[in-house]
Amino acid sequence: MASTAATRAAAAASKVVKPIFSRDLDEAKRRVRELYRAWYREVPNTVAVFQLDITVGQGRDKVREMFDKNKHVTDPRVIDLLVVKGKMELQETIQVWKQKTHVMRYFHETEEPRPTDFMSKFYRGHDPV
Amino acid sequence: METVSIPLFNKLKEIKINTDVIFGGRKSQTGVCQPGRMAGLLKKTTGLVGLAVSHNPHERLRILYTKILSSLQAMPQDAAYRKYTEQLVNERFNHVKAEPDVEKLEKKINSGQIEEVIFQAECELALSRKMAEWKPWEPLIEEPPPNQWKWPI
Amino acid sequence: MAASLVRFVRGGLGRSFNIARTSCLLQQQTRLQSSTTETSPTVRPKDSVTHNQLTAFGEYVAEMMPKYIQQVQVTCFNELEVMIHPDGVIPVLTFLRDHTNAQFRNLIDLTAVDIPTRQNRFEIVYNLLSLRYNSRIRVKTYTDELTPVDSAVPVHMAAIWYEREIWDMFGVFFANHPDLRRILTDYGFEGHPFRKDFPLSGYVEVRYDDEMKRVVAEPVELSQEFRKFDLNTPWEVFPAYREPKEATPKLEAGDKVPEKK
Repeated sequence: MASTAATRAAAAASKVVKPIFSRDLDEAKRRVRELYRAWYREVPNTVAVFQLDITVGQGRDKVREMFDKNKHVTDPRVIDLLVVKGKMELQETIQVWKQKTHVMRYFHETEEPRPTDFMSKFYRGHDPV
Repeated sequence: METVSIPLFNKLKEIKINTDVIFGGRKSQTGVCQPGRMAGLLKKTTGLVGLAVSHNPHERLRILYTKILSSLQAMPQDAAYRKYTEQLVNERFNHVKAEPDVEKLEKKINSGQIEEVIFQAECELALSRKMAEWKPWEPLIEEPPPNQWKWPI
Repeated sequence: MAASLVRFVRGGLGRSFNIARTSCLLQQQTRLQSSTTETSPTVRPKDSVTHNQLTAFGEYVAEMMPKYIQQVQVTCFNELEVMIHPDGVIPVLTFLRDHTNAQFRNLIDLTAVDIPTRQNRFEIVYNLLSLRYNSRIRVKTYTDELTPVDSAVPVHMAAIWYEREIWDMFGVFFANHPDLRRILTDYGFEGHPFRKDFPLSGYVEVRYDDEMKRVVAEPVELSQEFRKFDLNTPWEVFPAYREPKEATPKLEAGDKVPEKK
């Protein structure tokens, strides 16, 4: 979704666009850093409140990973929207609206890796592209 | 039946309100108690939540309409909003000036009870002040993108 | 002309109760006819009185706010639609709420439509009701995934949940909304389900895992490849929207004479 939006935004770059919050990339980056700090501080609390079977370090690594996943985004509006969503997630976590299952969903513990070679795909029975 | 044409806010001073229930200063407009004959009976409620009975509707309306007209003065002469609102307000203002009896006035304005008319005037005043800020009489800010409103696609 | 227009609008909308009654009468007459002769088709009779009233009121609104209103039209079912620029959400809604001749005080519904082929893919639709004049109006505006729309909450308190719903289902961001968060989807849900590019099966499936002792979500496997179906029916789906449009008058904002496109 972000990529299509980004291409569309690039196509309409000549037009003046309405900013969501940030007027330029630096401001958007500042918001991302603020959000990252908030998550970083919240992790020990989350682990304690939800009684998660992970260490604080693992939680912080996961936060880092989630931020890194979107590091290719350069459009300030897309960054803003991602930050907005991240803030909402943070609020849901802080207020304990989420349950343990929702928090542990970030870790994908039960997922099996997709088969890559021919034989394991064959054993799986079908070939999901 | 409706021969009384004393301005009501003059009458108010004579009437003593001695119960807690009665908080309005005006005669009831229900059909049961005819005005004039039962001059002591006051309008207790408008029957609408959050809309209290007005003690001095004429005065209130005069203030409001004057304010609306003066705030419309700031707009350009040919703005449609100013034109139509001035016309509307003047019409109602003339009714207010000409008709001292509240019930007849309500009938002439034909927009519900006088309290509702006051509420409408308050809204219009707030709107006219905002309108001066927005300047909606200017030409269209941006044309819609082609085929934006085409349906079916 | 202008003066007569105002009077027509005010008097007309004010008398709409009578008109409703007359239209009922009309309907009764046609029903009687059909029961006796069985020739007239069972369609709704055309209510030209209401239609003209709505057209006049649409013209009135368009003349008042030419800055924001792009187009006004009355549909074949006598629904007045006002198409506005997204910057005009607050002014137009406030005007419709506070103006004495409009008094659209109730926000009945607020929703969005996703049409991915358009440059601005989302249409935001506001349905308003005026109790005073027993009349309804529909205000439409547009946006894309990244352009924020001004929140209607300062004008209509009812918009809070509707806008949360649109945010949740379509991902349209509302600026200055007091409490924008998810309302229908589960915590941790990703994506916006009402978008046309959201798959019908979703992205994850949920099950209870006995080892983990909790509910887990796993990515869903689309075992069937994506197919493009030809969904065109042989029937005419929108008979009211035939290409050469004559029935619905299109009024360009600000223009007295309707232009033909």
